[in-house]
Amino acid sequence: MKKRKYRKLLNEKKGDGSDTLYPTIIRTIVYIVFFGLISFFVYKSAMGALVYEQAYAKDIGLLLDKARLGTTITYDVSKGIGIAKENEVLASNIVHVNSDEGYVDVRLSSHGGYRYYFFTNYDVESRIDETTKKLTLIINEK
Amino acid sequence: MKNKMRKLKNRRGTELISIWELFVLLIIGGGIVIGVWLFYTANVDVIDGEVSLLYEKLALCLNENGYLNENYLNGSFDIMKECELNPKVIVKEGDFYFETYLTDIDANELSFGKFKGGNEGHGKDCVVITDSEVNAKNFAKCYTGREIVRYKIKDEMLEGYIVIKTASNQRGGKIPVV
Repeated sequence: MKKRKYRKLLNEKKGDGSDTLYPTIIRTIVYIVFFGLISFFVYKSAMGALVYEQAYAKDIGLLLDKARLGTTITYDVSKGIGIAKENEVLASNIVHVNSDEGYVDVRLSSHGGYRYYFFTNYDVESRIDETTKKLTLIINEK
Repeated sequence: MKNKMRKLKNRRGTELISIWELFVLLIIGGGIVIGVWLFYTANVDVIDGEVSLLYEKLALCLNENGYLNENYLNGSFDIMKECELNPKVIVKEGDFYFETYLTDIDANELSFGKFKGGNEGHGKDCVVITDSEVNAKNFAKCYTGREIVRYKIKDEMLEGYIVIKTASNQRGGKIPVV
């Protein structure tokens, strides 16, 4: 009788211990994975092509609106080159300035890009130096 | 009372995580994902800067050190060419508008020397916004300023203002995959 009671108590204790620990571990893992995924999503969104395409296109468009004839503008595109490399886009294809139609296209991924118009009527020459990671814009007369 | 709440259990029947806990996690996660997505896909508004730049561009070309551009009152004045504005963008794209006119020193508009270009709808939007002082979300943004200038009419040197109104509603946009 005593022996049976002792064995029952022992089994219950064993069960109770693992029942408390096991769900806690699982729950912790689920929470870590969940918040890890969310953090990864936030990081990818912040460093994504979409944000930089729009920022670069608008920045360059406004710089060209402000520019005077004969100006040479140097603009840092190091982050854009990094994103473009990740998305297998050539650095030379990142920025395209169409002086006739008056727009700037910025592409950092193969999923399209972003276009912004500038109203000045100049001939704009653009090139990217991959070593310095800088975009040079030369404003000439049309 | 019997707890009817559904729970994910291991083989021994111990509760691992409840359906409600998963539901709360999904709501929090969904909220964060939607919030971040809305934040990073939002349009960056630079129109205020753009209308000021258009004003500056016109002012620099029409006001030459306090004197009105000498060609302004010629009948053949081409404002687009003189002020180095791209007609394809200003006229065809329809996102911009500008208007310039002369006034005397008492700010009375003169019957000559008026130029406008671009989408006139934006000019009307500007009048509505200025008159009613409403904040219309998708309306063009406007800027009006004036520069004091001296100008010559029939060999008489006069003083007045060149009033410049500019508007833009350019939002920029995604371009399709090539």
